[in-house]
Amino acid sequence: MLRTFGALVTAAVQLEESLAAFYEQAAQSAREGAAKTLLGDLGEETRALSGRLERVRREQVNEMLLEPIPGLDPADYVIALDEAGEITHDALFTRALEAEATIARYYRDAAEQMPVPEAGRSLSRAADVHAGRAARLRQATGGHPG
Amino acid sequence: MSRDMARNYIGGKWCDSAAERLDVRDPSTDEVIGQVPLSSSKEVEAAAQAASDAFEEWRETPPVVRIQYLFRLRELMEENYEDLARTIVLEEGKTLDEARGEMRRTIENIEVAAGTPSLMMGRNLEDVARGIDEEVVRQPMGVFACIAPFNFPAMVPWWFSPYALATGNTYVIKPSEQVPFSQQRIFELLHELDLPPGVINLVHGGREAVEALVEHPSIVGVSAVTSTPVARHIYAKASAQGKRAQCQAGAKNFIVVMPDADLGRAVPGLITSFFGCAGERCLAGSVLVAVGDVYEPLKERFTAAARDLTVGNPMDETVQMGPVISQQHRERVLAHIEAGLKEGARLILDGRAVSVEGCERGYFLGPTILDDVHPDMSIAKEEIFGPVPSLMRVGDLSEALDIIDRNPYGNAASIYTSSGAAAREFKYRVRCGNIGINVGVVAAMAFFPFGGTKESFFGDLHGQGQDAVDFFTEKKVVISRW
Repeated sequence: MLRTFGALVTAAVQLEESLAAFYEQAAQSAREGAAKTLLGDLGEETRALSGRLERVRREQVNEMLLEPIPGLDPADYVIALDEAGEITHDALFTRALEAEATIARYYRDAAEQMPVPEAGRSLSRAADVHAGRAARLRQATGGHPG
Repeated sequence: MSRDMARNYIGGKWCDSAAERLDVRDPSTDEVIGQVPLSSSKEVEAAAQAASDAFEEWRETPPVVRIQYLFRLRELMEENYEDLARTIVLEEGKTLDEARGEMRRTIENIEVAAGTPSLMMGRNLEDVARGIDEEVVRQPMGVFACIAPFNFPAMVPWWFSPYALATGNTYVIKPSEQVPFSQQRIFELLHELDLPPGVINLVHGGREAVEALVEHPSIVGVSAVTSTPVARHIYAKASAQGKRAQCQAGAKNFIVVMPDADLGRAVPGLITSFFGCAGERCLAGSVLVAVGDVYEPLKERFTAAARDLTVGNPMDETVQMGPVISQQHRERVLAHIEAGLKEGARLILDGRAVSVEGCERGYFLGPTILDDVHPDMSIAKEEIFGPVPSLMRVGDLSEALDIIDRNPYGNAASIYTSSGAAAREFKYRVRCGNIGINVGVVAAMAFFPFGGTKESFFGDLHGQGQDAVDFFTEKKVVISRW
């Protein structure tokens, strides 16, 4: 169980790192075009988000507020990201959409448990970022899949 | 630089010591992670001399230039934040979150000290008599030293040193010999700043080094954080020589829970206070005082929450409580528990037999709660410095306040209540340096003074903020007529 401030944020960083690696590999394998550009952009944005979360973990920790929290079970937020280069275009976008939705849900749930409001706000904003990506991914596939 | 041998840093250079060495152990595993020299008085002499030699040039360096080094140090600490936090965890045993919190407070003090050009200003009045002006200026005094404890190996020296440096003094730090590597790592970063040699120095060691620092004629003041007997000794010895001294000492912190307290909010705060840093915090709750009818529900919820804590290797981020500092300290805490039981206390949560997989040799103690504790028992009076709360029941707030008043320590005390009147009476009557109202860890931010009262503090000016600037400067009045 993730029951500390640091564990919640570190799990988020790990989710972002996995997703970034997925997008980067997908961008590398994709043919030139809008999809490749989108995947590349998402990879970069995800890395940046990961960096922002590391900053949250560093800057928002407060000794007075390190109180026990009910916690989240990481098993509820597993993202299945197979080798991006080995799956079809549609499958890749389906996985990406699923991952984005899972991560957004993780952030919303984690934000509710954060003992530090500023950190909670950062997680909520990260949830919005991931939720907003669904539209970009759907647009790139002409409305499919998802 | 390797972490396996702590080295002194004197006059801008790393120095090997020929002194006897002690093993430094990881409290989670009992493994030796390095060695620390027990530096001799000659090595202290060299550090004090280097600091003394550096003083004149440093005091003439404009404050706005001096603080640039602090800005750069802050950047380096941010860049190396995780490594510094993990060094704290490795040698002290607190959790990663707690170590990150410690680093945050370390940096916060550097940030506040960077405001020294404003904090250090004097004041003036024209025409104190016709044609005569008067002003007061603040000036640095020379070489100061810090004698630090084990429980906050990175932070405590930086409650003091940034202010000492920013106000133009030079400095010597002696970390606890149990945890030398956090300061060692910070000094590796300091070395990158190209400060003038001798402005800040590091000397590892034990009692001989402490005595030498307090006695050295070049050292004009000492900041120490230690036990009450040692703090009293350092204060007496330093002040007898006309030195400035601020010595923070032991603690026995009472937390009072009123019948009208919101237990849903209170219990998480109480858990952090009593079990955070495995109870090895001078602000840790030690005695939980239940007023009236709150006793039963408080006992039930507090015990359930304590039982639920994850004890383990603090490098694992899901762990909520790590080990205590040493086997010797663990045995001391166990002896306190035994004494409490002999005096009639009742064990309602027993963490003595806790075992952590993969860390079987670590110095772990699970949350342990003693009930039916009375004010005259030793466990209600003496500092335990471990995860062992004593639960006490009283009839009303006045009785709780009398118990707190009789205790010789005065570091921190808290009340949980929804009554403004009770909160007001508590903060008005309790004689402690740090008062919490619905807050269990009363850790003063860097821009506020930090220190206790009674047997918890010897001195007048506290650490951090404006108090630190006052401690490290002397006032000079100038009266002019032209």
